[in-house]
Amino acid sequence: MAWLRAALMVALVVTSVLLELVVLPWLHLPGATPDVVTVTVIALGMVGGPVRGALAGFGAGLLLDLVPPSAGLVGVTAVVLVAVGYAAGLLGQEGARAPLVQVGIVGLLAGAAVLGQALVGTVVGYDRVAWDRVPLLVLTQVVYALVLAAFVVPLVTWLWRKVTPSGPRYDLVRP
Amino acid sequence: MRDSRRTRTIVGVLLLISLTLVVLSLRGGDSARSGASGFFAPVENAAAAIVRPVRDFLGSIGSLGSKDQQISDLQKQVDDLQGQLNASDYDHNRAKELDDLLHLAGLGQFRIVPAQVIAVGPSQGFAWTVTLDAGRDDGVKVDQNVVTGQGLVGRVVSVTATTSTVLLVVDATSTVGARIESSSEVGYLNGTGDARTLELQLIDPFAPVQVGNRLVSWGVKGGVFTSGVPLGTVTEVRGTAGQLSRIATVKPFVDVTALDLVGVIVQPPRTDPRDSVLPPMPTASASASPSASASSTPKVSSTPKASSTPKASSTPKASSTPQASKSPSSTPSPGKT
Repeated sequence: MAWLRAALMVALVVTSVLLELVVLPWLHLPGATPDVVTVTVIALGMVGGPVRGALAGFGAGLLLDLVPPSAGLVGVTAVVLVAVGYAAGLLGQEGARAPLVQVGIVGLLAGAAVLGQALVGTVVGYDRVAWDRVPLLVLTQVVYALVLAAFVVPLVTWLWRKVTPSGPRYDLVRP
Repeated sequence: MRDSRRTRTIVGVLLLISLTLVVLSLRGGDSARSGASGFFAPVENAAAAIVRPVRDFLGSIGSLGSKDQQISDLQKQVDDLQGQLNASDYDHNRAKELDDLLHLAGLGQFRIVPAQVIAVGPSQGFAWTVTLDAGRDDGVKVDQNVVTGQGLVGRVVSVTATTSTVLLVVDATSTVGARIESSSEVGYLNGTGDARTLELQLIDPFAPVQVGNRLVSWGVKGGVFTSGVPLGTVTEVRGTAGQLSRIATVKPFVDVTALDLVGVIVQPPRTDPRDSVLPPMPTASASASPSASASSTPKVSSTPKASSTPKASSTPKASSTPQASKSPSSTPSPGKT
């Protein structure tokens, strides 16, 4: 049933990209647009492991960088989200954590994602990075990520369990 | 630990591919993006088309309460109920947006293609861009200006068949030629990455600039930017006249965080509309700006040549008759007429 999991990952990534670019900006929320894509990648990393998290991050980052209205360098978001997905996989793998801790991990990684984008952008010489906006962006993103995590993480966990064969430690059974 | 080594290999490969893409993108070349956008743009269009009725419905829910109230008085006030249904606040706002857009286009003699914003770029990318649902098939080309009824929004940077991407004026890499209202002092208006501030650098360091001055766009014929589009108001001036580092902070007329209906200028005016597109000054100041009378009736703008000599129309009564463009020299006291 591996293809079902892959299909779910693709569907979740595409839906989150559409949500972030088309639906959420219309709510005209203060500060930055909530980063549904990062939260989804983190959730996928937490349920699917580091490799799947990194793959999801790569796909989501690439999609965000390529589809309109992107105008920056292609690949910066991909680099950041690969790292975020991998970190989410590592942090989330330690058994079933308390929900509050999971939400905290999401907030932490979301803030790290914004910082990472600013850092990578500066390192490669992207001339748009405005460091004086970064603190406000990090703060609003962490707040929005914490709110979003309450919906996204249970949803992704529930969907993942639906497509994974029964038995919580399936991967460890293989020799 | 076979698994963790395999994990690290995969993650390493993914990071490598991403960094390679970044380097390739730095060197230029947008072919991958145009391919992906050609495929994904219709999806975004479809998603926007699905969400729009939901949003419109939610917007009209505010009037439901009064509707129930009116229905209970239906026998007495059927006409009133009809009137309120037709003129709900939300529809009013949409109609007003369209009105303002057409008014600006009429004043400046621009030909515009109206479009709606269907996607907004993520703010973490630090780039301020939006996607419109008008593309090559609607006559939109790269480098055309995008406006709302309030003023300049940005410039088209890429086009697909049905959508286009606009770089907003507040983006850090955006630069617009600007001219101070009722003068010929020109400069460059740069975006700062903040939605409410732009920075103006005048070409002449001794040019007078004060808080409250309004700016219109200025462009050369055949250049990228259309002349005469309202840009913003000066809110702060730092540095003294003569300093090369003198910078004025400008608040744009357009609120780029609340864009919905915009127009793409597909054909700029034949002659420079100068200040005729600016709305009348809010306070009746002694220095009667030419825009005050030029925009009083849209028909006046059909002869933009009348405002081509700002000094001639310094007395508003003289410019109210467009044929009097040669009269300033012959009527020293037009107030008598």
